Amino acid sequence: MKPEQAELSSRALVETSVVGSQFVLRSTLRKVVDLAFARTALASGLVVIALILWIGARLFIESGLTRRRYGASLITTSVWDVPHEIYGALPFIFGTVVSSLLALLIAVPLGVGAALFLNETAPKRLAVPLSFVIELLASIPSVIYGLWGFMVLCPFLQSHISPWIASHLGANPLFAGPPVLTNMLAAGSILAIMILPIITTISREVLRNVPAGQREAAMGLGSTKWEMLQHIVLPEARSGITGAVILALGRAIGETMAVVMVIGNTPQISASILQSGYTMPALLANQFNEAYNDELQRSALIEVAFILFLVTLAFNILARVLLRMTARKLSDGSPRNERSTSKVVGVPAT
Amino acid sequence: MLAEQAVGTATKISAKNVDFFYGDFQALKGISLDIPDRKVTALIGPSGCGKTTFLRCINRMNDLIDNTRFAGSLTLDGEDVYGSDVDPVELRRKVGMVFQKPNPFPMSIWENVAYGPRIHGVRKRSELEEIVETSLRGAALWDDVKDKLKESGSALSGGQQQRLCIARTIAVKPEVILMDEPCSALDPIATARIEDLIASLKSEFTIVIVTHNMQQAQRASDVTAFFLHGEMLEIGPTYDLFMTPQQQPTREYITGRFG
Repeated sequence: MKPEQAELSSRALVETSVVGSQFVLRSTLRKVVDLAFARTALASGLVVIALILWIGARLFIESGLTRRRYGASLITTSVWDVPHEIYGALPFIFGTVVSSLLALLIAVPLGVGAALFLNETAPKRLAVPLSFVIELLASIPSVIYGLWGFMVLCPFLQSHISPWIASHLGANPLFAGPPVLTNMLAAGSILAIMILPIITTISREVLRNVPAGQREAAMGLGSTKWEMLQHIVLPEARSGITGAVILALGRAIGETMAVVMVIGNTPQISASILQSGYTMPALLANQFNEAYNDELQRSALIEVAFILFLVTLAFNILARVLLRMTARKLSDGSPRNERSTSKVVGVPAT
Repeated sequence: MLAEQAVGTATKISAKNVDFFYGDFQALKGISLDIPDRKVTALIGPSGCGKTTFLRCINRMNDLIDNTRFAGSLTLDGEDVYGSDVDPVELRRKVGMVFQKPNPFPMSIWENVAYGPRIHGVRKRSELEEIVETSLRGAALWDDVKDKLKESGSALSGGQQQRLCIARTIAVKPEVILMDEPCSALDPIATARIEDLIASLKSEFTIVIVTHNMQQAQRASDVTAFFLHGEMLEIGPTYDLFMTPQQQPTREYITGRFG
């Protein structure tokens, strides 16, 4: 018998002797229900953990074939030729990294800027609907982003933006033309829109947690609003905003459907963002069907999935650790935290 | 004697018919009072009486709250604080503020004090060093912290933090210091030290202090104003106001019958 169970039953016994029997019956029933609830909750929690471990373990086991046969070359070489049994996933890794970084490049300034605007300068009647709309962006299914990206964004980029980039910056290999319709730039832009709500929403939360007392202190000393943000608020919020960015990066790396539809799905490593690319999730989505009966191809795909799984998991853990650290930093040292008024009395005397 | 002390100086801040609104709620109703130069003026009254609101009108901190409105006239050295050509940022350099809860910035003690002078354009290291030392001495904190200026301000005790905040405020050389219940988060010993500090600061600064503590008002201030329901009922030399209050509610409040 577990200690808490023992405690429960002994307490029930004590109550039997002290109060009447019909009273104890009900009280014991309530304790049983309470215990049942605690155990059910525990079970649900364990199922989630088991699920993650199961997914990770299966991915690892099922990719054994290619891991033994190709070793590190699967992630270091760049030819993916199914008929000739050559599997090098570098272009997909490259495409994933580049499209995600491109997305961050666009979304971080935009998202943090929006968070600053919504929290610090926007009048309330503008901030409320605007933040609602930004959060709404997160609820749009990614296939719709993909469709919109392919039918609207890609043609727009190709006719208005890419030619300008190619003609003005084309000498730089990063922007070498001629621009194609579906390319890295389009994938990065779509991903940027998709991760914008994550960055904005979490950054706002972090900014909001910077103690009001410190903002007031800075304003009271004659800071301008920008000085207050720059010197006091942003340094405090930095690790939290970094957490938001990493969380967004994890999302961008794993995003599949929207990217499949706009990136061009060409397994090449081109420095130019105006050329097509391919990503790991896109590879999985495009090839899983045909690989069903091809053991080697299936193993190669599962190995790519395993890498993707590890990377996104690592980014998510890192992001959450950072966010938690920020939350703790901002809530500790009670005298400067607005929300712990009652505890302030306990501050040691001079 | 106290009465003569309080009355015998020029007026620093003058309020005439000040109204203040949070949305539709009127927090201040026709406040008119004069605050003497280089004296300590205490604002007392029960919670929600408008004393803190009035205090925050003086350095326009209330401007930072959405949907608020000020009416009437408030002058500092005869100049309209709410005039169209007044920059609140510049005003707040002249009218410093110490808050209810000690709120040092999450930086070193030295940087906390140097922050104000820095944003107002002091760049030279030697000059900053000097300001930091004078300010910390002025706030009776120098001896406690001179060997650990690089340590974080939030590592100090509550009372030391509040004195750090006072040092930070006087570092920008304001003319007026507003104190919003500066001792409410402190124990009696730390409170006594802040009160001593207030007494030593008034030779240089005009101080306006909001307090819930009747003894503190009596000990630390020269003039006291009593606020109730958004109105100022009575103002006078502290000694007179506590000894011979003119109004019934004042009498009841200072003898502890409500509030």
